[in-house]
Amino acid sequence: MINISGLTFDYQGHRALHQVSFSIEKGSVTALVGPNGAGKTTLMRCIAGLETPLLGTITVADINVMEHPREVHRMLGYLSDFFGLYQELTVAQCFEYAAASQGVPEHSIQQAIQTTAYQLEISDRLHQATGSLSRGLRQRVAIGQAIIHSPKVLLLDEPASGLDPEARFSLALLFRKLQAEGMTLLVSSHILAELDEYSSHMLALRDGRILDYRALGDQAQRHAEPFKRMMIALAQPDKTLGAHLSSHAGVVLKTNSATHAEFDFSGEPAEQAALLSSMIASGFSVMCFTEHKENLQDSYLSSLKSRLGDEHA
Amino acid sequence: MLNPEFKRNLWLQFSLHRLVATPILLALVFLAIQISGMVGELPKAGRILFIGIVWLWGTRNATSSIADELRDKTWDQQRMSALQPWAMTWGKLFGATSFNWYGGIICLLVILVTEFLTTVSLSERTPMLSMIAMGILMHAAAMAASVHIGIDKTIIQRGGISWCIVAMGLFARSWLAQLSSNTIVWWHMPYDRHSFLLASSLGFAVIAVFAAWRTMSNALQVRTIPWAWPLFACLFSLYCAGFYINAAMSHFLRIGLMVAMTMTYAALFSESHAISIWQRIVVRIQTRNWRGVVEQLPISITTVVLTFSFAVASFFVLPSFQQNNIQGIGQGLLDRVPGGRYLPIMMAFMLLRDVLVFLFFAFSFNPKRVVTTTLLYLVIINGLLPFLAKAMNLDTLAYFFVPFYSLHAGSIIIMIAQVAIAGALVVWQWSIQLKTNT
Repeated sequence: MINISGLTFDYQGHRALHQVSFSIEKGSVTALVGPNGAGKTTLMRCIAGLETPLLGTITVADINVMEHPREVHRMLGYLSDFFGLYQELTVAQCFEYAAASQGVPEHSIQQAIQTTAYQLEISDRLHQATGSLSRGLRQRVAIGQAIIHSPKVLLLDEPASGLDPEARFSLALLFRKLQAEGMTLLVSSHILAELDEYSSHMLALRDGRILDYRALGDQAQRHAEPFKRMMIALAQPDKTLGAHLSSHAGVVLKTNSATHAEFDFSGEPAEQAALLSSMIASGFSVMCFTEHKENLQDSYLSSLKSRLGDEHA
Repeated sequence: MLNPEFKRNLWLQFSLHRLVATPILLALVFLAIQISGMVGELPKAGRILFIGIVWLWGTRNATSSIADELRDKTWDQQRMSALQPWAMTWGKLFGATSFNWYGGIICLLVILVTEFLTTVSLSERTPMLSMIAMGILMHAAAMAASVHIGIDKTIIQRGGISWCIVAMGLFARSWLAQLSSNTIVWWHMPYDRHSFLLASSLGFAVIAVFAAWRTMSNALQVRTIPWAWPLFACLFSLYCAGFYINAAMSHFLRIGLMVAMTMTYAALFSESHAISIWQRIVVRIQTRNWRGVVEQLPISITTVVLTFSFAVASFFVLPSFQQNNIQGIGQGLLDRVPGGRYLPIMMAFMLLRDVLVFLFFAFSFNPKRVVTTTLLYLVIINGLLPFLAKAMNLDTLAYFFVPFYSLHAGSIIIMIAQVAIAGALVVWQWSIQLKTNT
């Protein structure tokens, strides 16, 4: 759905994006992660056609953003990190303006307003001026403006900033629903746990370069990888833990200490049970033996560690 | 469906209170004038109120239609909307000023009724139409300038653009209005003063609306080639040259040179010349994407080219600035310019030097206050240093700084040397920036 090739963007005295290339699948939710200044917002603004890069090409649904930005805008929804609202207008007026200016047919506008307000749980605020709303409610109105025309691609820069935990949960549900409807989402946030709830892919940026781009989640991992990450913890330290695990077929040791180890295991469930039995039979005081599900934070940190390791090497 | 941008502005501009209070307030003002026994002054009062409400306040609102979007961070949402540039332009132009037109129409109605009662002839009512055209002209020009400057919010928020446009409008109008004769001779043809004023106002209003639409197109990411800016320079020069008695091609070239230079400085100091823009141009040149080059080109460069065109044409067409018998409006202004057929070429190179000095500061690591820094250094180069050199009897050195004291082919060589030095500084600054970025 989104294809980027050789994207380079310069600010005065600073290169924000270095030859960035990747493709985002249709119907995916990609978590855009990275530290401050990594180039996340610049990347989003380039995809939205709000900034002109120095080099490279960006296509959204096979339409070149630089050549035909207006055509791309029609299929995009974008929530900026520093969004603004018309303070003196009511929520309903803001939604009506957003829908009409994005080309929603006149006869469908009222329905779109009601649906969007319902999705964001702000139906009771429709006639309230946006200037009088709390930060969290304003955030919801801004998200509503970005999705009211049912765009094919939704770019969200820190969408959950300012939302309470309940609203964040609702937002995660909404994003899953939008994904199920076929929308492609690119979401940036510093709160990785929050992205973990609905992201199918992770795109990690650092210093304007791609650190990692990969699929996340059990299902994707199972399809892509013939092993699973396992974790074992001992109640009593035993220095032979690593050696014992390594001697077992199907085990590739990743990290280990006297009380804890992580390894990739490629065997069947019966072989997994046999491994546990052999550990207990060998006198290891196993207190935990479980599949270790990597979350977004783990993925990001392991990517970071791997990149830094490469750089040091 | 009603233009969404126009509708949104109506929501913002009108409330029941404003709708009801405005006519009541204006009626009270007119009533007070009538009670004070100055019935004959009602049309005049109407005109003054119209100027205040539509020209001054309306121009301010037209500027705010862009400045508020930038301040409230809603501009990106508008730039990404599906609205066509024309819909966005007229939606803002007439929406943001709708309340001013509401008050203005009430004033016009009062003027019409009172003039009808005092049986003023139709020909004397034409100023009213030109007042409306002037209103549209000021609003559209303010909007075009606001969108063009765009990023530099501080200038807009200070209302600088509004007051600049209003001042220029009032100056131009009062200049035309103060002509004692009821007939204006333009390109050897006599015209009725009121009709000419109306035609001029309408013509420039159309150009201003066109400019607002063009700048809005650029803001909404519609790719355009910058031909409109130099074309306006030519049209404006043609318009001004027509006021000369015995107006001829020589006047057009001379005025054209001045107009192109002035417009270059105006554009240079108002648009962004960040190094990233020039890097994009260089990349497009390297990839032979000529259309992309032209699309990215700052408009000030187009009038630099035009300035050189006028300069070269003047060099060949005109034997000397001083040999022309200049008469008519503006007489004396150009007469005072030191003569010589090299002068147009010198001026074009001086402009190029100034553009390069500006780019040198614009490409620096901390390109804040580029305009003031450039102006400061130009004052030093053109004023302080030659003054000091003269004061110390170093005439040759003074001549190197300002080779206008006596004009000959050598003066051009000195000016080209200045351009070369400024160009070398720009290249040096450019290479430092590139090293940093890569």
